[in-house]
Amino acid sequence: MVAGHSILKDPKNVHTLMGYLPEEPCFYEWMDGESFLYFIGDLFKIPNVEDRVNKLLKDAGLYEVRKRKIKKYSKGMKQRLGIAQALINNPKILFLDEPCSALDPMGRLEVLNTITKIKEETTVFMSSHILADIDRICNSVAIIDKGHLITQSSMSELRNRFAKPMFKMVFEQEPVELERKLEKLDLIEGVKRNREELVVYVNDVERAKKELPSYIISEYALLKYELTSPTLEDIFINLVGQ
Amino acid sequence: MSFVVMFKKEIREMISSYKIFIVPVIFVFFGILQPVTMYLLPEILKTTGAQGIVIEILPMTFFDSMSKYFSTILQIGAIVIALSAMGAISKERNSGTAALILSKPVSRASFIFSKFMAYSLLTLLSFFLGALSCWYYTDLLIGKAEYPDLLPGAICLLALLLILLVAMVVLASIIFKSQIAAGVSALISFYMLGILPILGNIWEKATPYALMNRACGLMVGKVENIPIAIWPNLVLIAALMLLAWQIFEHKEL
Repeated sequence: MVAGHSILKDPKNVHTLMGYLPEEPCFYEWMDGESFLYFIGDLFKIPNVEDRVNKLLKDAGLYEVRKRKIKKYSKGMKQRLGIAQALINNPKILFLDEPCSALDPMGRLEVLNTITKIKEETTVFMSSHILADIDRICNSVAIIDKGHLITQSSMSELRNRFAKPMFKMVFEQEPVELERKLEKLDLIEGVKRNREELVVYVNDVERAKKELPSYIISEYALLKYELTSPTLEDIFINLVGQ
Repeated sequence: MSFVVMFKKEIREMISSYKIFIVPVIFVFFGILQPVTMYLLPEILKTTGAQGIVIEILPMTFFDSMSKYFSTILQIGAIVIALSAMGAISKERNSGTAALILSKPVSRASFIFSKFMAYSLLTLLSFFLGALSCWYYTDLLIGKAEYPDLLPGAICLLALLLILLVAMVVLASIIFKSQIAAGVSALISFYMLGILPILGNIWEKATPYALMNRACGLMVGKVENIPIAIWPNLVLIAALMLLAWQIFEHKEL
């Protein structure tokens, strides 16, 4: 079911209500950006298609290059044109498949800003392997591994459930002995070491704040010590890696 | 209606890729080449300078010129049609445009039938222009048509055979992902149809290539077995397009 309509029984209505941007948006490259949007608008029989096309071109920052052949567009421009065509019918639901993959940092920023604007009016489903992007713009998240849904919840709920506070430390030498020592403490849920960096997961933050420093001071030269919340990437690795 | 929008897009794409100019020019070239070559043949033979050899050339007729044009179109013209249409669906599937367009309110039937109609139109336009050129130059250089009233009918019969080829190319373009595989398989199947008449009398009358014989017959005033040649072709074209639609309906993009 999409927006209350069955995709099998009522595909035409579903197509009318949704917008879709494939991972690598492909266009008729012999067309210019404006003609392509007119073509898609005609498929939806959009009334006042001219106004709609002009608005989308302006929103996507493509108005100045609207008469340029699509084959001469940069990747970022194509991605923004892809989003514009997906929005031409004012969809209730927008599906974006890896909208920022293959984009340079500036292109990524532009596309993310566009999506942030869109989500104020439209439900956006976005799939991505760039978890920092998801972290930045999504309200809720579903994690899928090898075709299986591992978890699905709002970002805040996900953080409450899976984002256990952790202490990050960086030492001058590799803290091998300290890692072993900390693993034995009942206060500690897990320890991960990556060369000189040590990440310590605890079950009682308040107690850890007081007790943890006493274990690490004087063992190794300490360069950095901080209490942080895990990023979505940390949560993902924790869930999928298990 | 999405069919109309898609059909217009196909025509614009043909204009943009110059197919709409190149294919008719090739057909017109062969249409002019046939009567001109026949007209100049005695002169060409003279210039070869063969001493002591007597070559008797029978007088050329309108029928000779036109039927040779038809044969050329069934051979080289068929290749040109297959080359122009072989990527109709496969190219869009490979590039991903088919997936994008079919996520819009466009039925798969509209998607393939718009292509079939556009390529049929291109084929008809090219073939008719070529045939008219051949007619005009044959009339000018060789002689008048014996049965001018029946000639449009003969041209239409052969056009029907070419539409069958378009349907075969569209079907192959759905089945095969590779454009080359689509074009080659459609051409081989089309040429194989020419072998069927050797199987027996009914095959001679009702198989697609019977259209060629009926078209040649019309040019010499023989109006016989026309419906039995037309109907199987119409049914075959419809069946191929229905099959193409059903396969495409269940094809993962």
